[in-house]
Amino acid sequence: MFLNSGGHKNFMPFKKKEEVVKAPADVKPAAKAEAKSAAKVEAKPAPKAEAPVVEKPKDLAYVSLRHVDKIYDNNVQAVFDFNLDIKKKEFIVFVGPSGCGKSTTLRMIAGLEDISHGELWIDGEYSNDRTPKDRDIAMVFQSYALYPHMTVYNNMAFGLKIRHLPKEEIDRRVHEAAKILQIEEFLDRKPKALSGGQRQRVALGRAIVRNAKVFLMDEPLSNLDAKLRVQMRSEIIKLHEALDATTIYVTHDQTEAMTMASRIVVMKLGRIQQIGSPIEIYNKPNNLFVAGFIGSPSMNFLKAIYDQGTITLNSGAKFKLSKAFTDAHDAFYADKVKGENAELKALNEKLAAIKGGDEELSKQIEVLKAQLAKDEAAEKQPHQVVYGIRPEDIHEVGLGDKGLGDPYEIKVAVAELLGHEYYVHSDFSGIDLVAKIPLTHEIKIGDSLKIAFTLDKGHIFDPVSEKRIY
Amino acid sequence: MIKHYLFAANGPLNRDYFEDALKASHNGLTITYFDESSGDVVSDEKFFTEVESLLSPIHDDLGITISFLCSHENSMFARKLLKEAVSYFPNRCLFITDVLMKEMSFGDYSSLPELSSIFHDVPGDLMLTAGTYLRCGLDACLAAQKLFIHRNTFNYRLNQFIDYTHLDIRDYHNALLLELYFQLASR
Repeated sequence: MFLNSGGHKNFMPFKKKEEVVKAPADVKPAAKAEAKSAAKVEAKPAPKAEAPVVEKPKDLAYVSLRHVDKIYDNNVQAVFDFNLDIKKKEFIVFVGPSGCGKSTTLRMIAGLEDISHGELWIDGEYSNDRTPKDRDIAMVFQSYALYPHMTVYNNMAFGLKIRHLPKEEIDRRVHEAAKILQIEEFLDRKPKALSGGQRQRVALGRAIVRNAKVFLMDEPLSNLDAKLRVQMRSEIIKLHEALDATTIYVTHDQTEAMTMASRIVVMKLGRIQQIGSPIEIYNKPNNLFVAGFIGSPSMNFLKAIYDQGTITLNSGAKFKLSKAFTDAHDAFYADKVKGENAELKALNEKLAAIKGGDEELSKQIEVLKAQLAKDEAAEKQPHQVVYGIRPEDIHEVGLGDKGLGDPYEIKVAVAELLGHEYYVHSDFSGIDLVAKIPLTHEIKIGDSLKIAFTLDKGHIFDPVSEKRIY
Repeated sequence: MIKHYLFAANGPLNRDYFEDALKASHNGLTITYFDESSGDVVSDEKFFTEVESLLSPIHDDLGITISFLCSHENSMFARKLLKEAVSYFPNRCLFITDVLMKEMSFGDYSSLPELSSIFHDVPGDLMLTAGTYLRCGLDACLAAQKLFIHRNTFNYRLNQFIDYTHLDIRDYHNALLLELYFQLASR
């Protein structure tokens, strides 16, 4: 039924517009930023500022998003406090599961969605209220976005005709883009006579001819089959190198994110989880979500007890962590305790100010006190952590890898052969442990294997905050 | 079957280019404008699939967001729902039933009076004919059997129903609108 619906907002409860309490219409962005936290609590739809006078921040990047929120008219917030500075010529990838707000953020940059709070700056210009046309951006969609009745040439030229460019200039740009994309021979064809990959190239061509400041790509490869997707992926990277264009690319595919991005923005439920280069995100994930989302197959998470530098897994297996791990552990909990103490102080002050007390606040304080006591004891007493190890950091013993811990025997539950390696699944104390084992001999279901972890590649996470300790 | 595709953009339309983008895509379009940013395209049901694929490139080229609402007539009710479509579904093409179902699924029944007014003057026997037709999966022979009337009588009544409501329920989406009315009215 909802043929075009997709993304977050279409599945949100909504109220009639008349029921929504609107804030005054003359709120300026600066004031909006101040009022932001309050607005988030009540999640009231934001007013659209009229020709605001905004002070230009000094530290602006080529594209800057400052404290951007998206709250739909149905009072549902899809994006929370989004902050990102994008340098010129960067290739930024927004990645995350469905409904995480990545497309909504892209659509706000494109001008397809209003920005509820916060500021968008493109090339030094305050762009919140600029029309999509004036933002000088080009967008590439998953569905190609081509005029079915126009030839490839006209599809690429149409946007330029609207901008009243001279015929010669249009012709030059179209042919130049067609040459880059190797679609010169298809210029007279209509989209229906092209394959999926060729259509996506035409869609890219429509963006290229515009010489736009920023390219926005919303899952442009999702409609292509796996083989073509890999091919187009490398073509888009080459194209980015050739054009030096600033590109923001949305995908749910972490492989695309890892292979294409200069920097990745990992999102979940409307919030940024981590911003970093692919290697940073892979090696130092901020939290359990990022660690599990990036990497294929996903990182294995094992319940464990940490006791003064020693990890004991649920299976009973024990190993000593390096000094770097223990130092990071102690520093993490010292920081956490400091933060919790400050929070407790603030809550106590708040409670003291309320005459007659507040039951909910008192409960909150009790919970925080209990957590604080646990965290204070974490340095000296055994406590629960989550031990994370990637499948590629689990090895079959005897294959010459260095830095391995003690060997464990596993029984193969599933062995997936990928050609050069196996993904071996086994039951490891109730957890489906996945290991990448190179193809040196045949592995069958029910086989026993001796495996070991590369200890310095493991991570430990705090089970409460889900943050990475090391 | 003639359909009205009501549209509204978030800014003034460059009519020449807008018509250029629309007209060549489909034969037999008639475009009338309500104001500088909205209007009505009259075409057949096949235009729906065409217009869907045009919205993204139009947004990209003309720099406007635009929503289409496919309706059986250009009524005040349809125009009211168009406003809702623009707000909730920018750059999309929808049927009236899409917007109504969205409202209903979240407990909003405020459109019921306007929807009811479409069927207000229809005699009971014609409503029964139309309702039976829906229950029989739009199978006219079966509906005639169920109503114990001749097939020609059924056709005559169905045509009368269409004359009263301008809603040709032989079309799936129009039939769905009637079904929604029955669902809402039963509340």
